[in-house]
Amino acid sequence: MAATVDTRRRPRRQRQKVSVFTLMMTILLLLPLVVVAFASLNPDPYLLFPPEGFSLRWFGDALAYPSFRTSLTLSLRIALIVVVVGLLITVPAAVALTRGTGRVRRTIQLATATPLVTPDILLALGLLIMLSQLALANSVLGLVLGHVLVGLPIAIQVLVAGLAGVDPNLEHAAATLGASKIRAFLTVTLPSILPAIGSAAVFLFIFSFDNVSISLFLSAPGQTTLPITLFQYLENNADPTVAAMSTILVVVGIAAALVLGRLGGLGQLAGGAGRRRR
Amino acid sequence: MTLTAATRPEGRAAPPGDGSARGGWLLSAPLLLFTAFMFVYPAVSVIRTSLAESNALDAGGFTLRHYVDFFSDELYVKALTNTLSIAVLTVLVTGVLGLVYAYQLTMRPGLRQLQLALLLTPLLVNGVVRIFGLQLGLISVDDLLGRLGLTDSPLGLNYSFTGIVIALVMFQFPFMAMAIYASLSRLDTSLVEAAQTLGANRFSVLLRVVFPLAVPGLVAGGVLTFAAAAGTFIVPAMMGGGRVNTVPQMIYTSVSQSQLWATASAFAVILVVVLVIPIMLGSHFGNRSTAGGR
Amino acid sequence: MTTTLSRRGLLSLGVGIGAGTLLAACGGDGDTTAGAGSTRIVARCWGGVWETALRKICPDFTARSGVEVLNDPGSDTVPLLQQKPGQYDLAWLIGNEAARGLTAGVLDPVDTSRIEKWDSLVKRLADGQTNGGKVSGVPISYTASGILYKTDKVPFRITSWEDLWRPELKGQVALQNAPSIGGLFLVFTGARVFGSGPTDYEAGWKAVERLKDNVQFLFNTSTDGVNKLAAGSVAAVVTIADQGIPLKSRGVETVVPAEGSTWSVQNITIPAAAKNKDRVYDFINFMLSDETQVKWAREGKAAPASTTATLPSDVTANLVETPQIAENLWPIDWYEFGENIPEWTTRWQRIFGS
Repeated sequence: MAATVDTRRRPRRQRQKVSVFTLMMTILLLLPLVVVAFASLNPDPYLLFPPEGFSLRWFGDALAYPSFRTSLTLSLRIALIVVVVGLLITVPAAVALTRGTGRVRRTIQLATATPLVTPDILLALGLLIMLSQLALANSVLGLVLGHVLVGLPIAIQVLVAGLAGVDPNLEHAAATLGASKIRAFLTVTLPSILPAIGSAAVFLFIFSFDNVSISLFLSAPGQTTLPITLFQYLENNADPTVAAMSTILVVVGIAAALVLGRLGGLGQLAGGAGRRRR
Repeated sequence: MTLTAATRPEGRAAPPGDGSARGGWLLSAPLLLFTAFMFVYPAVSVIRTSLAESNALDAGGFTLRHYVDFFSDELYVKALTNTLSIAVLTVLVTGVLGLVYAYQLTMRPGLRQLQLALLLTPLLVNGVVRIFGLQLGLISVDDLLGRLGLTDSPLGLNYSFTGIVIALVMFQFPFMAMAIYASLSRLDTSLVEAAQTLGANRFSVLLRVVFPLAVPGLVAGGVLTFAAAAGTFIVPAMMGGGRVNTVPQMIYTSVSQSQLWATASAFAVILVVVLVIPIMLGSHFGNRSTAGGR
Repeated sequence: MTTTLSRRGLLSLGVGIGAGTLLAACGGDGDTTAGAGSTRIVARCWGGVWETALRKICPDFTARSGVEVLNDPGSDTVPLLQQKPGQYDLAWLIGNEAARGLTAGVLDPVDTSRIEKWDSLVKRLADGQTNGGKVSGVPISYTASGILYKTDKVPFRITSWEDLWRPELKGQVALQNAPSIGGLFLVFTGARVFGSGPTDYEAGWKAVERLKDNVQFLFNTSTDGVNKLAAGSVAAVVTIADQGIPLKSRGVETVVPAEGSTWSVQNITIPAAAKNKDRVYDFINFMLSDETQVKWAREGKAAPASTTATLPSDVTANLVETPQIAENLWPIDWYEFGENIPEWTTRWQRIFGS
């Protein structure tokens, strides 16, 4: 029967089938980035495509611009903290959501739906008012808390989707065999949802790294995050420096993603078909 | 063999009510406390501001005037309908494209790592810059089409309703695709192929097996896309070219130049209320899907 | 069935968490609130070219006075001043924002007796910031509005504001979106060109409605308009005239019509809750000194507010604001304009939005 064929011995040709549609979609979505990358090579101080020449001066300018460097480090720092804090909050909650009683589930759903639905700008405003009263409005802590708030809903969704595929009976089986509840969770369920945790981490990182509205309100002088710096630069400067900075980010991002691919497998990250094998 | 056997048997979630209630509250405590602290308090202050008598910063009082102003002015109601139509359209387009993408990627996983990496990469770039890239790209496309003599006037995708939807689909597609892909990960492709080679109608395989499996992801992605598309300020501002009014833009303008705190707060509350209903419905529907074991 | 925790997976997880906590531990929270009497002032300015200009100029001030200037770039400053009083010692604001700030009580009126060059500032600018004897900000520089257009796309020479309404420009004009002032200025322009006088705002609005067909898009960031002009997708842009000078080599003509024009002014204002007001007055006097006015004009590409500063030719080559043009600038009541902006913005949105 086809169901019992050892998938590892499937002819190699089948495993490497590539979908034309997905390739085309991926390329299509990348086109604006390609345009930006080419525009960053334009020698004149205007964003033009196709570029009229070839010049790397904007890359030099971008790297030399002090605000870019400081805000990049700040954004990275904050994003990493957000990932850790975010996961610590959402993983237990996701477990509660999938395994808990109706009341628990509904409360969590409400709790995660509402920040999702609120327009960023008013979320930020409310946070500003509240954090000002606590004298946290100018600190990195305030930014981290704000970013975690916007990333929560998506992280929960991803984790719930991942947990949905795990049979709790396995945990029960481990428990009947003598493992404590926590140990059963850690050794049985946790490894299965690692891809989902990875996904949630990636989304938390991205939502923090690219966040504009919360950061706009909660940043302090001298402590702006990268998207804000880019946006403010663009408001009064037509030149391709921002395009160059973005291109650098893209290259670094792709490199990081490929490294991640080597280490852990991005397909695993999305809970993908790599888990098919028994 | 029934078509539902195409999913692995362990793809069964716990029936609700499993596990102790106290354990559930304990586990969810960090999240609930965090949300209560970080969201409820600010939300309450926003609601309070929206009911204030005047637009000054610390005004008090109680009036529903700002809400009435919103609904009695055609400009704002139109902005609300614009916002909702943009959001719904975006969800539909992203949902369809995301579904096809995720299904194709599951069935034909070649170059999966690379494609996923490239899918996520644009998210690292500032939104404003991506929109610039899109606009420049569209200008070049218009240029090319004109020069080839295929059209005699520019497509007008820049600065239009359509342009806004295109940009939003571009922004939201990675999230939708990833969410559905995660759902479809439980699909045992070998069985799907087997079913097809054994003669099962391709379409009914898709409808009865693949689609139900994708629903949780669709709902998760759909909810996120809907909220993001309805709440964004920058995309309609840039891609709409000032021609399409949306509620977030109204909120922004009333705060930035005019500091109309009460008005802005009222608009925001209205937007949230209008959005929360479909989202709660969607989540409810989606969770019923994941909760019902097979 | 279950994925086992591969060694690689564990490694990458560990690396991630380790890096995260390490970075978090390394960087402490910088305490950015400056105490009173300290040697630093915190300034809110605009980004891009303005921040770059300040970065070049402020070290001179620090060298002279020992006071450091921390520049925080951004826009939408007035709401920020309302929400975070005490965070900034000085704020750069344009005319109507300064007026609004004073009326709303977030700004201190300026003590002009402490401004050395007050009497030699361009009268129009100084008067514009004064209302009922109180001064909302000190003008440092100003920029005139103009029409930038591509000579190869426009079949005639643009010489007057009226030309914008010509049918040949259908779908070829870009304006700044409300609530920014660049587009709303056209109400003034319409009033003067088509109406009975400067305050005939109704005529101005009718003119704006007639202009709608010619408008291709409205931009929020001024550089968006200029970029599209350079890219060739629009023929004429109404914006800060100085932005057109570098585009001359690309076939762009810059016109400040002879009948006059609107303008914008860059003021330094003093937030009411500022902690280092004395140092701010020192800074203002520094910015108004002849030497700094020349530097500011060169780096910020705006005309100096002080009439005693003489600009060398390399700077004037990049500026449109000749004394002749300065003479023709229309008087603007920033206070009245500021009061009108909310209502005008809604009216603007009704006309252009759909």
